[in-house]
Formats: sequence, structure tokens, C-alpha cells
Amino acid sequence: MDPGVKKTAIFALLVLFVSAPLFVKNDYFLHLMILAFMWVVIGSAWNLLAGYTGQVLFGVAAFFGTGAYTSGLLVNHLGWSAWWGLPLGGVTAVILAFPFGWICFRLRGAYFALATLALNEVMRHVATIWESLTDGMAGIMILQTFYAPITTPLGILSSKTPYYFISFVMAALSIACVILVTRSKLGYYLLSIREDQDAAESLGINTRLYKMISLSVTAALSGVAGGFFTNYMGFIDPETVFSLHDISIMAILVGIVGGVGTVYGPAVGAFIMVIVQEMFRTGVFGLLSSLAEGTGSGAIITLEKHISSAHVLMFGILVVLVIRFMPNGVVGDWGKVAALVTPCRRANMRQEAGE
Amino acid sequence: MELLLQTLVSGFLKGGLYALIGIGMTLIMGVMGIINLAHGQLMMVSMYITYSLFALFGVDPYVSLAVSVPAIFILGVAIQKFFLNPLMKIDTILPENQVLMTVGIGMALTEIMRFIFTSDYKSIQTSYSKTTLLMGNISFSLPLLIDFFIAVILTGALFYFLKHTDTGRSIRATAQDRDAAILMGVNAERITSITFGLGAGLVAAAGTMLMPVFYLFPDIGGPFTRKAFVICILGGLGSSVGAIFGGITLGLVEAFGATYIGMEFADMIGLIIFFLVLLVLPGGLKRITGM
Amino acid sequence: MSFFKVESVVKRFGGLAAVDNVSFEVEKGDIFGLIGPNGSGKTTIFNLISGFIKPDSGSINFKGRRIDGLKTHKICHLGIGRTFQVVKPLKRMTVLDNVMAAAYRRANTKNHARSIAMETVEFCGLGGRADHLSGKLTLGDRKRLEIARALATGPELLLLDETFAGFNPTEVNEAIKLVEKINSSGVTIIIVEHIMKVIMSISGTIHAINFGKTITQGTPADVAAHRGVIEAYLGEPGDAQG
Repeated sequence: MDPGVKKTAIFALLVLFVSAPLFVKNDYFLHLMILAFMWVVIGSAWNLLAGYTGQVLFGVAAFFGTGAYTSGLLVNHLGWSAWWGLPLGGVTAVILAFPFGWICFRLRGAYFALATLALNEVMRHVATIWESLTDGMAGIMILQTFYAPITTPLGILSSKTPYYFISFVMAALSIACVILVTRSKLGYYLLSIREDQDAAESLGINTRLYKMISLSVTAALSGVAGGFFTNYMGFIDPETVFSLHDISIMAILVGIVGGVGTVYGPAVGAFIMVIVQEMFRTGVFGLLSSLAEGTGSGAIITLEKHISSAHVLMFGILVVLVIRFMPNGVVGDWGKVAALVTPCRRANMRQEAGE
Repeated sequence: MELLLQTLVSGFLKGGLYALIGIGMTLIMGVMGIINLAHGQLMMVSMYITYSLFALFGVDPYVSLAVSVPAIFILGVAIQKFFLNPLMKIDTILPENQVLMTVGIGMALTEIMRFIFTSDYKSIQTSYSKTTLLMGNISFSLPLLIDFFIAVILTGALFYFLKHTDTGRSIRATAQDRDAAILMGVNAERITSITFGLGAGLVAAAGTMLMPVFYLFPDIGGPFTRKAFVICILGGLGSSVGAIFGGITLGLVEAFGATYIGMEFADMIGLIIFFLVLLVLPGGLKRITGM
Repeated sequence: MSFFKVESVVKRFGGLAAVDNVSFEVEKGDIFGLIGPNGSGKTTIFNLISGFIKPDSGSINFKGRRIDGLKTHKICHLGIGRTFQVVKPLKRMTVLDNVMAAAYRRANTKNHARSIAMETVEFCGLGGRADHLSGKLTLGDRKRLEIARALATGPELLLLDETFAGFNPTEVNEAIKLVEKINSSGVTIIIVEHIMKVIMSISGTIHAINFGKTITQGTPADVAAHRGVIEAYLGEPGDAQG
């Protein structure tokens, strides 16, 4: 894309996102937007380590859940505001990431990925078993800060509006963070490590150190997102925040569907995946149930009954299909499509591939 | 002393089945160089086949081997042919996409089974499920004893196949040096498909044979995938003989863990073993024992 | 104090000694040739020098500092650059970005890194292909890229691993010129080759090894005339006739 057009488009999107709550007061719509923004943060975090550094993270929930529990435990045990969980959730996630990375970065490729998977499981078990700290399976309930509609000079706004803006800022900051990284020395080093670790070492790059830095940023962003999740949802339990499919696999899908190793890929992926997830959860936004009532068709009734319980199945099938047919995601494969249409874009693409 | 011997015996017998699971994983790892994270899920599907045959037609689990093993073999071939092989031709920056693919397949298999059979626990009660043979004061579970012997026979058959048939030799050649094997005229796509099928078939046999003594629910696949991986690493990645060793080691460790530490920490212990093995033993037990 | 010194280095893989008690010294400004048939241990020596593997015994000294056992990136920072026999381009990055990643070794701003990289790319004759993806280059260009990348880190000692393998005669001549140009800019070079002709024409001193052991060291003429070297390349006299 022409840089001028790109800038204008991004600016227009920003204006649209900022002003949306003034016009749209539908709680459900805002809820989906908030989730999408949160997933932009997690997806960007995953993408930094997996897409830019080539270290596939199968267990981002380990860091997300740690952030979420930090927030909840601060309320439960210290009586602090759960909002402290945003910064401190990032910090605790990094504290977890540090020894983990130090030990596990000697593993390469799939073995590292497996170690992160194991970390995910260990953290879930810890949160479940350590009842004196976490209340185990019962989970943690906190009082949400905003639950009533808010009256402002601009009119009465939904109680979700503050969460909307906070998550929006988080999403914007995490994209900015990725942009900053990719344009710096760090970005070049991470890409070099992704492409060839031995070559990177021979160029004077301390691969272990830079992988640690990448993991720390990933963990920090995921932890902050976890802290936000606790504040927004008001309830967490081990099965939710340390969930292998609903968090870790979802993060991978957000990354891949959008485009691995692209700046805006996870943002695109986040919106697509939140909508897809919601479609399965709600039976295509209630369309199926009204169809079932309207037509009385047995097939649709059965489909409607099962679709919400089948969202994990859909996740599995999506993973398979996306990797098989669209491994570079919407943003990654978009360039290819665009290049086919206009030859002059090829040079741009080449440059973007290196940026 | 008796408790010790008893633990040894049950660990060893279970280890025979674990060896079968591990060899399947090892074959796939050796030839394709990927970790099959749907391995335990394939086993779980085989267990449901066995369960269904028993529940619907009263087919004995050992007879149903004749159905479950070929069925999972075909499933494995199909997975390799239609989902994994095509990935080799796709240029993508997505790292480990083949492994990720197996994760997706594993999830889909689990959920399809949950769809059909629900999350309820299932088990098969045969006339011999609880039969034990006594030798002195040590008891041998009859099904586990039969399992062990079948495992030995299957392993022997596999080794014969790998050593003395053309396909078997091609598989070994591909495992040693894929590029060289292709240059020598080995059809890599066919070989990888057959290998994945074989690996799947072996784990299917293990699953079916576990049915008389074990219970079943859809999520059982994940822990067995983890076990398969541990066995594989214990045995030294890609070594079939090592996998036997790894399988029996894991069987013994689990038996001792259950006897002397307690069942409630089983999951956690499993994970800790997984971590330790991953970190400390990338070259397998061979590296320590020098075997 | 010598510039670069390898002393009684031994490296075994399993029971087999891949490098067996090899010693040599390199003077500053020299082009030092390391020759031997395939599998004689040349690349292993490079891997030992650049820290990918550690010697079982013996020592390696660079500018009076012992470097064996140091991490690879650390050795690069001390001023030793290397190329790989099997080229390792950072495939999904452009040629310029490949070299910039290396140039960051001695640059802290993007502009500085880019200017070093541009200069190095031009120097190595890749100027016209700076924005090409490195994975799509021809073999010759990939080897140039290897050299450019190693040079961009600003080495005082450059290890060239079979840079000429797979080249046609024109390319070989160009590459020889490049190596000489690098050398005259003040970089000491150790070059591994198994093509004798190439190495004879550019090296001041040649060290010949076979089966991990030193056969001889001397001027190109001496080494070429050495009976052990001839045997190593042609096989035992008996074999050659049989």
C-alpha cells in the first residue's frame, strides 16, 4: 500500500474507533469490540515471539493467566484495586517468563513449543491445586469498577465505555510497541534469529539474550491483557484464564489468521477470530435459533443445539484449514493477491517483507 | 519386598504397552522429523472404536484389534497424505506449522469423539478384565499379560518389516537421510504416509489393548500424547529400540509413583517428568548410560 | 605475541578424532590457506575457532586473548567473522537487511547500520541486488552475501569456508579478486578450500591437513611439492594405479 494511503486509512480507523461509543450504545457490540481489542494485545504479543523471533509459543495462557490472577489476588489478599493488576500483571508474567526462558531457550523449534505447552498446563494445575492462595476451581470474583450507565455531557454512555477505551489504548500501544521493535536494532536481531540461529550467532547476536528480551515483551503484554480481563469480566478461574484452547490456541489462531510476522496481522486476526468465536457461541448470533423456530426444520434444530458446544471442534478444524490453505494469513497473503493485480506493488512487497 | 516386586511387575507389563505407543511416535519422528501431537488422540479414537464394537455387537476387545488397527492406519495415512505432506510445499514464515497442524487435528478428533460419545467415562467389562494370575504372592493381571505378549509380537513384526522388506528399508533410509533417500528413488510422500499410518496403527493397537483394564473419555488423548513424547525422548529421539526402553522406564516410574507417592499428584508428576525429560535428556537415556 | 594462534587443538566426535593435535599461527595481514580433502577436518577447525564447538584440549588465542570456550557471538565481537560452507542466508530478509543485521554489531543507529551495510554490499559487488530477498539469490550471490555479512561486522580476522565451491571459472576469478581486495583493506584471512589451484594463487602460507592431522605447512610451492599432500589428494600411490 502507498504509505500516504496507509497513514490516512489508519488515521480514519483511529477516529472511527475513538468515536464509536458515542454513536453505538449497544452493550453487546461494545463487548465484542473490547474482546477484540484485548485479543489484539495478546495476538501481537504472540506474534512478536512466534512471528518475529520464530519461537513458537503454544502456551501464551501461562502468561495471560498469571496476569489475570495477579489482578485477582491483589484484590483478594491485599485489598488493592484490581487495576493495579494491569502493570503488576505484566511484571509477574515477566517474572515467570524469566526463569522459564533462561532454562528452556536451550531447546529449539518444536521442543521449545512443547515446553511452553507444558508451562501452560503446570500453571493451570498450580492455580487449581494451590487453594489457599487461589481458591482453586472456585475461582476469584471481584467487584467491577464500572457496572452502571455513565452520564456525561455527551449523553448517557454504556457502562462498558471505560473498558472500551482502556482496551483500545492497550491495543494501540501494543501495536505501537511491535512497530517500534521491528524498526529498531532489536527487530533486525529478532528476524535474524528467526531465519537462522547459527548465522545470527556468527554475526555477533547473543541469540539467547535477544530471545529472552522477545519473550519478556511477549509475557508483559500478555500479562497486562490478563490483568485487564480480570477487571473487565469480574470473575476468573483456572479453566478460563489458563485454558489451552480458549486462550493459547485462540492466540495462535489470531496470529495465523491475521498474518504471522506482520505488524497489523494480529489486529485483523483478532477481529475475525472474536467474531468467529462469537458466531459459534451464539449460534450465528441467534440466527440459527430463529431459523429453527421459523422453519421447524429438524436439521437446523439439531445444528443449533450443538453449535455452541462445538466451538472447540471448530477451533481444531480452523487450525487445520488455516494452516493448510492460508498459512500467511489475511495480511500476509494479501500482499500476494495485491501483487498479482498490480505489478508495481511487487517492489513494495519486497521492501515490506524486509522491514 | 512383595510390594516392591508387585510394583515392578505391574510397571513392567504396562511398560510393554507404553513401548508400543512410543515406537509409533518414534517412527513418525524419525522419518518426518516432526512431533506428532495428535498421537494420543489417535489412540483415543481407536479406543472408542473398540468400545463401540463391544457395546454394539459384543465384540471382544482383542478381536476388535482387527478393525481398530487397520482403521487408524488408514486415518494416519490420510492425515499425512492430505494434511501434512502438502505443508512441505508451502512457503510460510509460520514456524513449526506441521506440529501445529497435528495439534489442530488432535483437537478436532477429541471434539468429534465428544460429539458422538459425550464426555462420560466409558469402560469395557469383560469376563477376564479383573482376572489375575498368582505367582507366589505376586499377581499378574491377565489382560496386561496378554497385552504384553501381543506388544512383543507386534514389535517383533515391525522390526522384521523394517529390516527385511523393501518398504521397511525405504522407511529406514528416509529416516537416516531424507534427501539422499529421495535421490535414490524413494517416493518420500508414499513412505511418509505409510510411516504415519504404521505409527498410528501401533498406538491404535495399544489403545485397543488398554480397553479391558482402562477407562475412556475424550480428553484422554492429551496425557497419552505427552507420555508418548516422554517415552520417545527417554529412548533417544527416533530410535525404535530406545522407545522400548523408554516405554518400560515410564511404566516403572509411573507404577512406583502411584505406589509410593500417591495418585492425586499423578498429573503434576507427569508434567514434571515431561519438563525434566525435555530439558535434561535431549539425547535420551542413551546419553547417560552410554548404551 | 602472535596475532592468531591455534595450539595443539583436539576435537573428538564419539571415538573419532576430527581434529587431532593441530597447531598453527597466522600473522596479521596474511592470507592463510587451510587445505585438505573433503572430511579432513577443515570446517571443524572453523567451528572450533568461531565457538560453535569447544575443543577437548588445546587452546586458541586471538590478539593475546584465549578465545576457545567463548560463545560464538562473543568471538564475533572480538573481531573474528566467518562464512559458512553451506550458505545460511536470512532468507526472508533482503540482501541489505541481511547485511544491516550484521552491521548493527558496530552501529547503534539505523542510519549508521544502513550506511555500513550499503558500503559493504557495494564493496562485495551486490549493489544492484540490495533489495532482493536473499533466499532468491543465485548461489554465487549467496556466497558474496555470506562474505558481505561477515565483513559488515567489522572483523580483523575473516574465516572463509569454501567460498569457491560450485563456482565456474569466471566466478572463481571474481571471487579471488574480492578476497584480495578484502585483504588489502587490512583484514587478515584464513581460507579453507579443497580446490588447490585457487588457494595456491592467493595464500602466503598454507597449512595442509588430512584425517584431522597436520601434514605440512609452508609456502604454496613447498606444500604443492610435499609428498604427503599429493598422496592425500590422489590417494595412496598404489590406489591411484589400481
